[in-house]
Amino acid sequence: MLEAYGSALAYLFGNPSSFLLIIFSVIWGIAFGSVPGLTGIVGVALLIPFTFVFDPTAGLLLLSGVYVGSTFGGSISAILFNTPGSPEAACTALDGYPMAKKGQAGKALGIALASSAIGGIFGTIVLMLLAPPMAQFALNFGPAEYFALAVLGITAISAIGGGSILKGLVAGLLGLGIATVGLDPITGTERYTFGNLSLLTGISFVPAIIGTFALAEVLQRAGEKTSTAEVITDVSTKLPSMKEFMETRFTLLRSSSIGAVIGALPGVGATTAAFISYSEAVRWSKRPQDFGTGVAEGIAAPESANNSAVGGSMIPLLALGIPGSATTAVMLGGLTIHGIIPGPLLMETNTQLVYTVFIGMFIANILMLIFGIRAARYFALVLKAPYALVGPAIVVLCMTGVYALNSNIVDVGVMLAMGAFGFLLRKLRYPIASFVIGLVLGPIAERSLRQGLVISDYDYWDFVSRPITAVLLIASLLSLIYGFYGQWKRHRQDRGSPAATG
Amino acid sequence: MAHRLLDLAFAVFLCGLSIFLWVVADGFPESRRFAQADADYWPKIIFGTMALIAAILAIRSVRDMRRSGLSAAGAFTMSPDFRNSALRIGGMGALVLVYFVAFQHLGFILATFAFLVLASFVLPYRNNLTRVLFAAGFTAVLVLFFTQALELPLPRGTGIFYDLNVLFY
Repeated sequence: MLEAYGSALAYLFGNPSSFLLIIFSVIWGIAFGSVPGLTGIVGVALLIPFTFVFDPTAGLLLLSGVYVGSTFGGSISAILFNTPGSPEAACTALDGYPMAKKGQAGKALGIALASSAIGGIFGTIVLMLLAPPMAQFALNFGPAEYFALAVLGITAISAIGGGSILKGLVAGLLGLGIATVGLDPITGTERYTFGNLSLLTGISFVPAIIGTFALAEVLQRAGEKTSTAEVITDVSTKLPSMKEFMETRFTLLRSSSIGAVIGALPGVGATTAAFISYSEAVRWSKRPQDFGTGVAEGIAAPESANNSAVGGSMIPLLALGIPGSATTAVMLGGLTIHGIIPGPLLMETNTQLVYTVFIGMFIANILMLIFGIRAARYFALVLKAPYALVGPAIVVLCMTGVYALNSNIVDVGVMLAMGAFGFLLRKLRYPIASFVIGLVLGPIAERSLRQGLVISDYDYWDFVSRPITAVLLIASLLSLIYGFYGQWKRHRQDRGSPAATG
Repeated sequence: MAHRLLDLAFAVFLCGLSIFLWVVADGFPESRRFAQADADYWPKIIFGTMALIAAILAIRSVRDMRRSGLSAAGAFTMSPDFRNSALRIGGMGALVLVYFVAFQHLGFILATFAFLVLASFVLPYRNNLTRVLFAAGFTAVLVLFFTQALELPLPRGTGIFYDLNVLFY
């Protein structure tokens, strides 16, 4: 392991431009995270075509830096604007904005920044410690286990998303269905090409995700009214003093641990981690009645948890090759254009890449702290940029980036079609995350299922009764039952609420 | 109500589409070796399940509509806000499509500049000078970045536009 870290450090110091890439990616991530509606996923998706000009290690450093930066970036608009830049920062607004309204915006940003860095570093250390043994363990996985993992990924993200589970499942199935277009991976039969030669290689993943996230977002924002809420831009970030820091140390430790564990679970991402950490912070606090009025723990808990979840969510991606969240699904697309297939063998065959990313994420969190102190006021200005200029610029970046991938106009057409489709799904409240996870996991699920059946001589019982497979499939079933139960409970509460009863 | 009707229409569409794609899968050429898990095996599982869930969603939409006791009459009346929003989305969508066509025929520079200027009219913006300066500046930065820094190709258009773009990249 030490040898792998040595080789990773040698790569980083042998390529000083990597540090510039990390700096750029963190700034890009904070900027995208801070603007409501742009989000880190759009930031990652837009950068994928540009990673093509770098080697795979530099490309993945770029994407992971954006992921780290954007998770903190969301808190800037949550604190200054009461509008979270990304869903995972929604909880931060609960205490961040009240603190900013008291005239302590700089202090609120400082707490968010320090907590984000601590949580991010904690999550990265967990990633460093857990990913290698998990990959080692995953070497025992066969097709049946991979199929069960893919099923868990899709059902968990559909069930725990918070919306309609049936719509989540349909979105996941749509993703799986679109992934079947092209040549059958086992027999080579043409499927759903309808005679179109461009579809023989399937629907290109990168144009599809750029369209689904970035273009659909622009269309969505085009229909929204411009917000007239006041943005607090005259701020200077103030890191918490040692006394203030010590007061939140247990909250930071608890929330970072919750974030790392929850981030590593498929389908349960940084947003859930932030809300659970917040409610735990309230439960453990001596002054629970103060939460919501602008207390430091109310900012520290969600921010440390959502940043810790970043490292956690990289564990299943790098160790198993299964993305646990929409952002890591997009990153998987970035890896595949370089011909890199994440999974247990990646740790054996491409140790330098994996360990460089570990160190890169560590550095990104430290850089986030350095840049965040000085730059929060400038990122706050980004919030004032008129969307009439920013939105069309994103469309141009989508078109240009996708075209530059293969100089292929068909890819741009795919991106536009998927953008329109993604917009429709959003409008009808079908979760996009389930759709993208389905699109990514489709080929893995199909190949594993059919290979597994061939190996077990089409004995279905033999296929599902392998211990790990059975555990994973039961977990999928439980996640669905849990999701349906939660939905039923919400439905009952809604019907019993005064508004509903009139 | 309009949203519920849309929900119902989409669920019915998905159900129909799934059945159609299931039938298409049934017509895939068969392979003797993998007869029990052939090319149609996985698509049939996906589209069969999707047809079933979409049908449940459609039934639920109908039930919700009946429960709420609202008739379809008036479902399509649009508030001014909704109409403006739909116009902006439609305008932006149409402009993106025009940009896609222009991208191939006029080349990157002209198409991008025109798109950025026109799009800022669709998403209301008042400062004319900023809109033109931003469009010109952003287009120039992208051309330099893609062609010089990344050495990636940008479309040059056709005919006279091709000759024009060759002067720049």
